[in-house]
This record gives sequence, structure tokens and C-alpha cells, in this order.
Amino acid sequence: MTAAVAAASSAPARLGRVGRTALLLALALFVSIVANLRLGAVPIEWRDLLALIGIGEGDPGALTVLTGIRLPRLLAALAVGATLGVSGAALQALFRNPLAEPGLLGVSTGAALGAAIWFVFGAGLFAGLASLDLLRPFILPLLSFAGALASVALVLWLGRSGGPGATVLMLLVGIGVNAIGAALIGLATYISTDTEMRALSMWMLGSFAQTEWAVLAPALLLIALATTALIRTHRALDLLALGEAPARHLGIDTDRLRLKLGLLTAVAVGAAVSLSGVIGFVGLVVPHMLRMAVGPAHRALLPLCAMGGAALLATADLAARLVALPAEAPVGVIMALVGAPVFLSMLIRTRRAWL
Amino acid sequence: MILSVENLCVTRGGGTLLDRLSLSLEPGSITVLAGPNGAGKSTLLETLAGDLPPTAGQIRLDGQRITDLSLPRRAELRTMLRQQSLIAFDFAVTEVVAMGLHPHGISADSPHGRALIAEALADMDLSAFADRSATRLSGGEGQRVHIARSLVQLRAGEQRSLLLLDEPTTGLDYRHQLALLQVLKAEAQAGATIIASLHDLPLACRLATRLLLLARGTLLADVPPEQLDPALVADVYAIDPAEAALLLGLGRSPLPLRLAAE
Repeated sequence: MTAAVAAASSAPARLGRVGRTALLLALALFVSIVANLRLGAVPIEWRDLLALIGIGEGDPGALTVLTGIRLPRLLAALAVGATLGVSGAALQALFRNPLAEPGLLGVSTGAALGAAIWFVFGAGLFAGLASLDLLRPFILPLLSFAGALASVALVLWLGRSGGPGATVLMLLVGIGVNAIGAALIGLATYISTDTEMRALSMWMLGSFAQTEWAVLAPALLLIALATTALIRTHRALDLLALGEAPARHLGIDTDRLRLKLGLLTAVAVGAAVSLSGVIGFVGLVVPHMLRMAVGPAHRALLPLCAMGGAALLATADLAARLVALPAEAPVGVIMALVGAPVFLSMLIRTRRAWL
Repeated sequence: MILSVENLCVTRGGGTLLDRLSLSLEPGSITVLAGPNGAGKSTLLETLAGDLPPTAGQIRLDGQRITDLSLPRRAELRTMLRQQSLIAFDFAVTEVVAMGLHPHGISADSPHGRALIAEALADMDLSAFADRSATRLSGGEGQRVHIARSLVQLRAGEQRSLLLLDEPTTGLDYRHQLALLQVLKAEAQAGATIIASLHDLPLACRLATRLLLLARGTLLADVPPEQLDPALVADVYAIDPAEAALLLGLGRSPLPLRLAAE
């Protein structure tokens, strides 16, 4: 719709902006991917990269590092970044507020609660399962995914209503559910041992250090399906900007759309969080910046948010790996260090509108 | 499109918002709803649009009950413009107007879609604003954007259908009130069934083929505009008959016109 309207009159200008931004993001994405694969504790040569895509021959040791460590980690960072970017934009459209993000629905808190259960009670609760080496890598992702889905389901169920205030109600219920989750995490932390607490707090800071193919593959599938479905709602998201009643007058079933957006973001972000732990600000910063660059129409905005989120998080993860070699920093901390000041500058710039 | 309303009642929280209303509206008619604040004008429009389920009674569009129609089908058959439309995020004026095409599955960059958008922009005197952000307009300019969006929704249908407008002149200056008047008359001529609520009675009389006066959810009068007399207006609004005559432009000003004498 966007590009279409742009063509109608407003513009070569806007169409040109979309094209330029897409090109710029594609370039950033490419550079980030290559840098992620080449740079790190083990040096990777160009010919090893070429060998990876089937051209010539590379060093076998380098190829093992690439396929076993760098590639899955890179894919995870790209997928999580894309998910957070798209989900953030979709939820901002739903709440008609540029400050909304997946965390509002309790996705992150629910996932963190699932992780807390594993880190603190895992040894006792899942002793039987954990002794099976085959299942072990799946327990933490499944628990955090279940936690994310459960808390979103609770928000959607408590916040369900057909009335005009349904979205605001959902937001308020989200705050309540988040508070309960945070309290339970606090409780788990309080009764945990030092080692358990350290494992949990590392996970809460977000990291791709533990990415394995076995966990990555199903998560990528869920993310791909849910993100594509989110992008396909672009037209309805545009109409929501008019408000729920006017969107209904244009034929959008807003009750169903609200449910659909809640479930899709829960699945996508739940899968993402199960890979990386909690990473904030991508869902907030990426849609905001891109909306300023190409305008709010979602047909262009959502795919660009996927590209932008992927490029940003892959770059942040590269920084996390390189900043303190041979150790590494949690990528969630890097994102927050960059994201939080941007978030504050957004608030300062829109301050007048709030007062 | 024939709109028929039988014995419509809407009650909410124990209060009666609409009390046993019956109407039948023909294509080409322009019906204006007037009445004091809280008379039930917006409630009636929302119920006719299918937003509020009636407590009792029926609303039929060409014989079909509106509540039996799916939301996308309703959006093809009726256009509704609410009071005080807003827009989140800075969509361009053209983009907002193009949203009216959505129910009809017409692309904004098809020749047909582009023509509809351009026509509605011109009708509402917005051609110069097409590329501006819709969030950075004055109240009246914003209202014109949403009127243009409604015109697109109405005109994009296979035939002119039902147009519901809740106080469409809010914020409009005289020039654009008159422009709206003309556009609505042309749409009625083209076969639309139009219902609008208005507070300005002289304007209502110029626009309407039929006036409905509501108070406290009850239909007090259903008259052609020529028959609107000061006694009726005074009764509906609970005001002095002399003031009512003044409002209708029939009386003499009680204020001494000193300036004119000088």
C-alpha cells in the first residue's frame, strides 16, 4: 500500500527513500555477516569463507569453526534481531504508540521465569530428563519458550474484550503480569545458590555464546513462520493507526487482529528469547529509526525492520565477542548501553507531546 | 441502498439511549439528525453502522440485517465517519485518504484508485496538502482529510451505498462547510443514502431532504426542512421560542445595531 500510495503522488520522494534505506541496510547486513564470520579469536581467511559457499578449498580447522560455531551463532543473532525489529513495529502499531515493545506483553518476563525455573530448580525437577544427553540442550529453550507463551496467553485472556478500551486493558494487564513474573524471578533468585544465580543472571543479560544447531533449527522455523505472518498483516496495521473503531469501519476485525498479533509476537519473540536470553531495545529503537527514515506505512516498514534488527544485533554480537578478547561481553548489555541512550533521546525529543 | 429501521431500542447500563425508533431511508435522501447533547445522535449512527448491537429491533440494509453481515462486507456497504478522527504515526494525507480504498480491494496505484484519491482530495480542497503529514494539520484540515477518506470509501463501491457522518462539519470554516454541502448533495444525486448529525440548523435545512429531531433517545419530529418552525425547535432544545426564531434566521436581533446607525 505504501509504495503504491507513494507512487500516486507523494512520491518519487518516499519511494526513493524506501529504496535507498533498503540498499543501505542490505549493505550493512552484508558487511556485518562477513565481519562476523571472519573476525574473532580464531582468524578466518577469505578463502575459508569462499570454501564455505563451495568455491575452492579452505583450512579444515577454520571450516569447523565456521560451521560449528560462527555460522549458527550468526544465524541466531540475525534471526533474533529480525524478530525483535518486526515484533516491535507490529506491537507499536497495535498500541498506536511508538514506545511499545514485546516486553510489554510479558514475553521477556515469562521467558526469564522459565529460565529461572531451569537454573534454580532444574537439577531437582528435570533430573531424569537432563540425564538424557539428547534432550538436554532443549530443556532451557523449551522452558523459556513455554514461559513466554504462558504469560502472553494470560495477558490476552485477561485483557480480552470487544470494547473500545480492549487494547489499553491489555497493556495494563501486561504490566500486572510482568510484575508477578518479576516477583517470582526475584523469589527464585533469593533461594538460589551463588552458582545458580550467576547462570541465571548471565542468561538475563542475553548472549549467543551457547548457540547450537539442535536448538537453532526449530527456533529458526518458528521465527520464520511467525515473522512472515506478521509482515503479511501490514495493511491492517496501517488502518489501525486510525483507531480501532475506524479500522473496523474499514472492514478489519480488530478483536481477531489483536489476538493474532499477540500470538504471533509471542511465538516469534518466545523462540528468539529461548535462543539468546533477554535482549532489550532492538524492538524499540529499530522501528523508531526506520519510521523516521521511510515513513510509517507497514508494507515497507516491516521488512526493513527485519533487515535493520538483524544487522544491528549481528553487529552488537560482533562487538560483544571482540570487545574483551579472549573473554566476551553479554550482547544484551552492549545493546542496552547503546539502546538506552537512544530511548532517552527519543523521550526527550517527544517530551513536549507528553506534557 | 434502502436502510430500514424497525422499532430500534438500545439500552446500556440501565439507561435507555434509543427508544423504539423506526425509519426507512431511500437512496438519494439526505437525512440530518439534530437535537440537544446526549439526545442519542451518535448512538443512533453507531448502531446503524453495526458497532452497537441493538437491544431490540432490526436494522436492514436492502433487506439484510446489518449484524448478519461480516465486517468486510459491512465496510463495502456503508461508510462511517466518527467524530474527532485522529491518526497515530505521521502518515501522509494521501496515504490516509487511500485507506478508504481498502474495503473494496482497489490498489492505490491503479488508475482507478489514483483517480478516486485525487477526486476526493480536490473535493475537500486538499490537493496542495497531499504530501503533508496528516498529524501536522489543524483540526479543520484534519477533519477534511477524514471526510476525503470517507468519500473514497463511498465512491469506490460498485454503487453508491450508505454514508453515515457524525458531526462532519466540526472545525470546518464556512467555505469548506459549503463545499461539503455541495459534495454531499452530488453524492445523494448519484444514489447514496446519507445520514449526518449536525448542530447548525440553518445548514441542516440547506442540506437535508429530511430532518430528524431527537431528544433523550426519542424521535420527536421527522419533517422536511421547510416545516421546521421555531416552536418545534424551542420545544426540542428547551429554549425560548424567540431565540429559536433567531437561530433559524427568522427573527430580529434583540441587540441594538448601534454600529450600523453610526
